Amino acid sequence: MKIALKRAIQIFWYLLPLFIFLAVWWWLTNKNVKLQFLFSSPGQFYHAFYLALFKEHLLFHTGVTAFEALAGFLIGMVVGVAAGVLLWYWEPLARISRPYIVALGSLPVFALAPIMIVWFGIGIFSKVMMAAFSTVIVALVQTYKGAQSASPAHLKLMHVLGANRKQVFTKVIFPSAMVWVFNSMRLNIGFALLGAFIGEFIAAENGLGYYIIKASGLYDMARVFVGITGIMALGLMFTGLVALLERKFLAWKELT
Amino acid sequence: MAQNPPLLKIENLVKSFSDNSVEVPVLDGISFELKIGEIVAILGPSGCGKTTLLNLIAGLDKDYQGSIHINKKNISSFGERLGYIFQDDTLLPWRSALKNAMLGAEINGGIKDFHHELVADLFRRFGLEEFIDHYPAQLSGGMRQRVSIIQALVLDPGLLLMDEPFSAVDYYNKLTIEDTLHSFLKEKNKSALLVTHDIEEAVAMSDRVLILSSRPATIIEEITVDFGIDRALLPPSKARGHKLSSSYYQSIWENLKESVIS
Repeated sequence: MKIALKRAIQIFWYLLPLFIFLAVWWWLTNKNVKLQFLFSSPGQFYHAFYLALFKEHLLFHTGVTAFEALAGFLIGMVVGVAAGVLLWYWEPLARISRPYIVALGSLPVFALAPIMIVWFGIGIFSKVMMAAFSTVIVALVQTYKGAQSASPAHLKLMHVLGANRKQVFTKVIFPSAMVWVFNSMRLNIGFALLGAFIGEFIAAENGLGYYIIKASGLYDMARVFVGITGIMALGLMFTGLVALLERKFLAWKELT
Repeated sequence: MAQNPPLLKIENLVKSFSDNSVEVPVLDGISFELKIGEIVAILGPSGCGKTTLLNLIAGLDKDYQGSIHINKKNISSFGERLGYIFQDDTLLPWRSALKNAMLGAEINGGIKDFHHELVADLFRRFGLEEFIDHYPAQLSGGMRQRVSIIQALVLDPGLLLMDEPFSAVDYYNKLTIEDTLHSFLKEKNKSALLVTHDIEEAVAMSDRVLILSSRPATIIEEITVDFGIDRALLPPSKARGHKLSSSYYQSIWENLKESVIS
């Protein structure tokens, strides 16, 4: 009973800022047409949300963006982690590629969007690639740094125990790097959504980016906010998913 | 003793480090033998090269002059595994105590049935049966060091190297761990080299004490510790209270004093 009460209080504190926000929003926009045009209002938002859900395929648009971001995230993570490991394994390659990685990492993903559209078309694939590009460098750098951060004492122990390079990798380097890989996953959730969203913003026929740009073209702020809410919901959902995976694979870390 | 062949034979070992192209001599002609079943303690002032000596024997550093032979074989062709217990905690935080203990076995041909039996026996001896599934973060410093010791012993090492293994554990833990480890080594007739800066510990644990000078280190004295009783029957905690302990302590300190002060 005590735990249930504690949980209820915790949920109350979580929801309180949202209620305050809604109350202030309602109070400011109530009967003020000018402000309603700029900021919409809770009532208009609810109405737009209802319409979006049942008449304008909001779930479908959200699903498209989710797929693009998730597929790009997975491609970016797999390629980035593999490349990070390769750089650890072959140090000269890491030295040579450093300026290129820095250059690619500093490139705004927006700059690549037109090229992606030309190369991969205006369909889903160009957005997946945008999301993948947005995540790959972070995954690569974090994995490489993680692999390098393995404790010298652990490496010495492995040497004394007679471990070969593969065993050193599987038993020390990779588990050490996992902490960094999960950090990169948390960052990359946002980057993947951003990549997919920018892709949709430039040219698309589906997705939340498309939904938002269409609504903003009509100055329909309520629907713009519905689209933004969809993106935030995806961000929260993906972050929760990463947290779940982290709890499963890095259970030991919660003890430290 | 005459039939007891040397397990480890070190002859004229010379080692120096290069610091900005200046050669800094560390070990200057170290020679000694370690017999099977013998525990030898190495004492010396801080920074004299004790750990360097262990690292050379363990093959962690191959840049030296002189010779290191184990079982009459060159160190690199020594078939048996060496056990190495470090001063600091080297347990992998993502592995349970049991999995950490089994690490060496996993690396060297996989975990066999006898490893399970040996590990169970060692966890029982070191009083850790209930903590077998705990992660290092859930264990105290003394417990972690006991798991590190088990990890080194699971491989049934021909030679056990210990680099100040008890320096990070509290006094009572130290006495308990020393007794358990000493009894295991004597029971299995294992050889061990113990690097320490604790004179009492050296006397209580070992059959012989080598005293090193300050850098570049040479062996300035070799003292055989003989309590007139089979050491297997005299655990270190009892040896500490033995009437001969203080005279060994004094004799070692007299030798060590000059090096430490200089």
